[in-house]
Amino acid sequence: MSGSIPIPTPTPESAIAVSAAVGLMLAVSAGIGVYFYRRCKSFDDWAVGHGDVGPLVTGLALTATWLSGWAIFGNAGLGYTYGWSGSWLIGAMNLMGLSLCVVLGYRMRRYAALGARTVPEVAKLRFDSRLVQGLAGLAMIILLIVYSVGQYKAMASVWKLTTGTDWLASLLITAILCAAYIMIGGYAGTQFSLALQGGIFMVIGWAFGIASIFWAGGPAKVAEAISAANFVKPGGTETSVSIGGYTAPIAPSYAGYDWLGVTAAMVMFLLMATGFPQNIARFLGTRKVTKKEYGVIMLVVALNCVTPLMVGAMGYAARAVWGADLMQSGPIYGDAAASLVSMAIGGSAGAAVFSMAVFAAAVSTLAGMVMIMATNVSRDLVQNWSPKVSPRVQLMLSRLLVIPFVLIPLWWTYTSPPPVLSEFMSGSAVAQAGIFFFVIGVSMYWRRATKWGAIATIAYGMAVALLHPNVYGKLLPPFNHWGVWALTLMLGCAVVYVAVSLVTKPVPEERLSRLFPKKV
Amino acid sequence: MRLNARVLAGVAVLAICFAAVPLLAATIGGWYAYWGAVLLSGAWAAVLLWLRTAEFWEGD
Repeated sequence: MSGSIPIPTPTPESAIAVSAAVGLMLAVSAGIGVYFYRRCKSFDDWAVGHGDVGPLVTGLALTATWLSGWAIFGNAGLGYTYGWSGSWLIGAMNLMGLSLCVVLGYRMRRYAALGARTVPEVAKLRFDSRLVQGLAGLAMIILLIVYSVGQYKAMASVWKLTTGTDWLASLLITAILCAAYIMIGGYAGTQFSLALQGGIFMVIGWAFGIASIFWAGGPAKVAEAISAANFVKPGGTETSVSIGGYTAPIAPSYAGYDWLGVTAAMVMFLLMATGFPQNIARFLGTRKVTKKEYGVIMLVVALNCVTPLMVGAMGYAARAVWGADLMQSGPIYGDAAASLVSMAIGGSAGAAVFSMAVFAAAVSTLAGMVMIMATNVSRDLVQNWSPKVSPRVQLMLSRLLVIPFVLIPLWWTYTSPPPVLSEFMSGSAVAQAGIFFFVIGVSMYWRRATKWGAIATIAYGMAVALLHPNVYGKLLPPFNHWGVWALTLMLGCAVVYVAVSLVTKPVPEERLSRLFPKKV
Repeated sequence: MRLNARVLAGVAVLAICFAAVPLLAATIGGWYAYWGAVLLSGAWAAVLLWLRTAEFWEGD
C-alpha cells in the first residue's frame, strides 16, 4: 500500500546538498585530526593521548563508537521491516548496557597508568600473559572487520539514496578521509572527532525521530498501521506473520522470533557495550574525574542512547506512510526508510542533514574500530612478540595499517552487502559481548580470573561464533535458532570463564597487588 | 566488595528494571512498551550511577 506522500527520489539539489554536508563534517573531523597531529610526538601520545580527556568529550565519544551505522541508519530498517519485534535489535534498552560500560570501563584508567595502550594490553597486564594479549588482539581483528562492514553499508546506502549516484566513489572518498584523520590524529584526534560526531547525530536523530512520528499522522496512527501490518520478505512477497507484536515468528534465525530470542537480544545489549573494545578503549585517555563529572558522562550517555529509538521511530513512520513498498527494491530494502523519511520531511536540506548524521555515526565507529585493529597488530602482535621494536616504528606501522583495515571491509561491503544491516551486525556483536565482557570487563574487578580462563573464553567464543544460524548453525539444530546460539555463546563464555579460572592457578598475589590496591 | 542493604536494594531495582522491559512488551505493547523501555533504562542508569558514586567510588 502506498500513502498519499510519494516516496522521494534523488535530485541534483539533494546530491549537491548531501555532498556539501558530508564533506563539511568529514573536513572538520580531519581538521581536528590535523590539530592533534602537532601534539602527537610518540606512539603513546597517538594511542591514548595525554590522559587529559574530560567527561563531556569522553561521554560523547563513547556514544559515538557505541552508536554506529546500526543505530542511526539500520534501526529504521529494523522498525520498518519487523515492526515492534524489531525493537529488540533497535536496542530498546541499550542504555542499560552502555551505562554498565561507563561503570566498569572507568577502571581502564588504572591500566593506562600502568602502561596499557591498547585493550589487549590491559589483558596482558591483568593476566601477566603475552599469549592472552595476542589472542585477544587476533579475536578483535576478526570480529571488528565483520562489524566494520555494517558502517560501509550505511554510508553507501545513504549516498546512493540521496544522490542517485554509484556508491563506490563515495565509499572510497570516505575511506580515504577516515584513514587520513586516524593516521595523523591518533587517539586524541579520534576522540575529539568522535565527540563532535556523537553530538551531531544526537541532535539530528532526536529531531528527525520526533518529526517523523508527526509527519506520519501521530503516534496513534503509526501504532495502528504497525498493528495491522504483516511481514514482507525482501523482494516484496507478503507473509501471514503479523509484525504488530513484540515477537514475530518469521524464522528461528531472527532475534525477535520468540521470547527466547528476545532474552538473548537483551543479554547481548547488556554485555556488548562493555565487550566492544572500541567502546571501553575510550577510558584509556580519560582524566581523573569528580563524582559530578562522572554524572556528566552518564547524562550524555543517557541522552544519546535514546537516539537509536528515535531512528527506529522513523522506520515505523515510514511503514505507516508507505506500507511495505520499500521491501520491493534491493539491495537496500527497508534500510532505506530513514533516508527517505528525512528527504520527505525536509527535502534536500533534510537529506543533507540526515546524511551528515549517518556518516558521522558510521565514520566515528569505523575510526574507533580501525584504530583498535591497527594497534592490535602493531602493539599486540608485532611488539608483543618482538619487544625490541622501537616506538617510532610502532607508530609508523600503526599509521600504515590503518589503510588495509579501512580497505578490507570496504571491499567486502562492495562485493557482498548484507541485506538487513543491524541483523548482520548483531552476529559479531554477540561474540564481542560474550568474549570481551568477561575477559576485559569482569577481569578488571574479579581477582580470581586466570589467564587460562581468559584463553578458554576466547577460544570458546570464537568457536561458537561459527555456529551462527546463518553460517554453520543452519546445519546443526538447535543452533539454527538465534536465541539458542546467542545464549549458548554468551552464557557459555561466562561458565567457561568462571569454571576454568577456578580450577587453574591464580595470578601471583605480587602481580595483582598493583592492579587491586587495598583501600586505606 | 561491600554488600550492604543499600547495595542489595540497588541490585534488586536493577533486576526489576531489566525484567520489566519484556513484561511491558508482552502485556501492554505498542508505543508504551517502546518508550517504557527507555524510562526503565533511565532508572537503571540512575541506580548504577548512584551505586558507583555512593558505594563503589574509585578516588585514585
